[in-house]
Amino acid sequence: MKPLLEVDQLRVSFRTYGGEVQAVRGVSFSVKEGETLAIVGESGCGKSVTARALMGMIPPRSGQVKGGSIRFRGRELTGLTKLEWQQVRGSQIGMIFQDPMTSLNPTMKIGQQIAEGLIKHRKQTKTEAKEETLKLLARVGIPEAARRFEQYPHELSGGMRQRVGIAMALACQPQLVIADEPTTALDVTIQAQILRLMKELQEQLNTSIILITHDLGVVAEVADHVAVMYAGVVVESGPVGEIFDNPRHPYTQGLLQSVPRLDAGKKERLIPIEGTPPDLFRPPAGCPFVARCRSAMEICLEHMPQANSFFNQHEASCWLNDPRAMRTEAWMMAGRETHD
Amino acid sequence: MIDNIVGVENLAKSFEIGGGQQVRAVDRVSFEIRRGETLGIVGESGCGKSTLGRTIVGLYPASAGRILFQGKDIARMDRRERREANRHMQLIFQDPQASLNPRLRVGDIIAEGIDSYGLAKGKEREERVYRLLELVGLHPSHAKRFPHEFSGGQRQRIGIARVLAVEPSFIVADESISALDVSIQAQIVNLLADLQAERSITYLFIAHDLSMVKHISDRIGVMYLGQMMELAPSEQLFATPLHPYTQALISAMPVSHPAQRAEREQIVLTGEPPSPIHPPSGCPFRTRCPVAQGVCAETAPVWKEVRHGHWIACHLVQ
Repeated sequence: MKPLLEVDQLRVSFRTYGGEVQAVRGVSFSVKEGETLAIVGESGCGKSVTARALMGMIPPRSGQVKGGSIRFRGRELTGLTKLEWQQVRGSQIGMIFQDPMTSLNPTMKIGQQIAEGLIKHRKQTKTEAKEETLKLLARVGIPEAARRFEQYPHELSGGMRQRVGIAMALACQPQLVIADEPTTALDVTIQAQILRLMKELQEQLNTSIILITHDLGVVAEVADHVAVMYAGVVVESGPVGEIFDNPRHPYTQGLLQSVPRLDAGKKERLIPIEGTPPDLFRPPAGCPFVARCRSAMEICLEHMPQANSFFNQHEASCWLNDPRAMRTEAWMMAGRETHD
Repeated sequence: MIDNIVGVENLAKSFEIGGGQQVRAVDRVSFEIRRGETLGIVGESGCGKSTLGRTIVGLYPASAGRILFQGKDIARMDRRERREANRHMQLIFQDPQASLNPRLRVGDIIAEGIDSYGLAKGKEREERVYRLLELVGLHPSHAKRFPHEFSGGQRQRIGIARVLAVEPSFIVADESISALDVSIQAQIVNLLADLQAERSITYLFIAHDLSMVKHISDRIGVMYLGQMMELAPSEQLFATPLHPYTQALISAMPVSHPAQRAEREQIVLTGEPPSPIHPPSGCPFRTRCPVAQGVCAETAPVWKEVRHGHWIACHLVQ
């Protein structure tokens, strides 16, 4: 089966006063139908920029897609005109943003905002669109849909606003939904509601989801596949079970070790990743993680590692996995012990 | 006898919100904090956990109830005693960007407390600043720089150094790691743990991230709509949560491994917390409680110790 979305060597840069920032530096991944891909990483790793590029939302004044390709159902999306993007966005690719307060129009009733897409993309009449919107509101768990239809975003709680955001994203039944930190601004009990809702709707509609997040718990909860980003590149990717059980990249191992586990013993010391991510004005020539990596070798400083493949589409870009590297199994075991 | 450093008795804090209306941000909260322990406070946004922390260190005056520092009511202290108590009770803020004066050099930010309490002067003051920078994992040369030259994690270290400058014995950490990336959070949490071990500092650790709170705390209090719902030793709270809200909160946490998805029975609460301006009668949680009974709407549950060291406010637990 051909993937729904294929991203190959995507590069995105921004012009700033300080020079060019290479935010995304050759990112590749694919998403199959009905699958959830989680893109994980810390602030500044390029995960949100990647998401924006997939939606054609890199601001043209300061940013630019420098290279690579984005193929959606076989169609190349890079280089589309503004008008062509407008036909893709909202209709074939839906979006859910982190903060629904800033992504919803504060001066427009929420019902109208949802209906807008239906009128534009599905050529519905106002009455049809209103009817459909009321159904959508009910479907995303908003009680008293008719009353809510007439309300403005500020009259809704954060959880309700995110439900509106989901209703908007799903209105035209897109094949792909890109959700950028959809539950980060929400409390944990509301997060559980929203994640459950997204899963249910995905099962009903067979939608593919790209979930951008920094929260490994959310990844463990909903993802099928995971891509771990660091300093503008994907350092490791694979099925969610493999990533949690057999992380092959020291950065992934570090991330998993730095969060406390609920089943861990009391006051067990966390293992942080020392240092901070590199400066993307001057990205390092070799592996971007080298300065913080406990297993760094000389070659890591100078040459960017290629992706090595493991069992079941699991890939990691680290020199330790190179067949020419010394067989030091110790570091891998160290990772495994804490995650089984 | 247990040595309590801070005690809170029936503490309440209300805010005027205009139109003669009041929000009871914290309502009838009582507990003790033992010397050298870490007491975690968890709860969702608007539950009053930050107001609680700020009221304890004196940033807000309490509306009712008492705050005891080393067994003495703060409201009854004379000026000198109170100033000394203030020095001992410090707060680390959530956002290190907003809480550091952008126009001051890091050295002066850290020395502000030293100057204010006249703890050291001249060469000795300088030395102290350098030692504090090293203590929190920064370099003495950083004293000459401004806050914007640092990353979020480093700024939080500066915030911690500033607090340590006045040698407090009790620190309220209010969402102090929430704004940081996970790999950096672990660095700060380890730093806090090291400081506690070296200087026997007591922490009130306020956060919404349950797994981090469990990791760092000896005991944990769970708040909802301004009131304390349950308080117990960490392990006990997670192993046998008694309050329906605590049970729901723990069950709402994402799994820590994908294989656990299938195993668990999740209690997903319906609805959202009610407005603290018009809290429900009786138990504040009853509108979302899956097991609420008639009595829950009629009277507020009493705060009682149901097992050794395990406190709860719920009609249904005896």
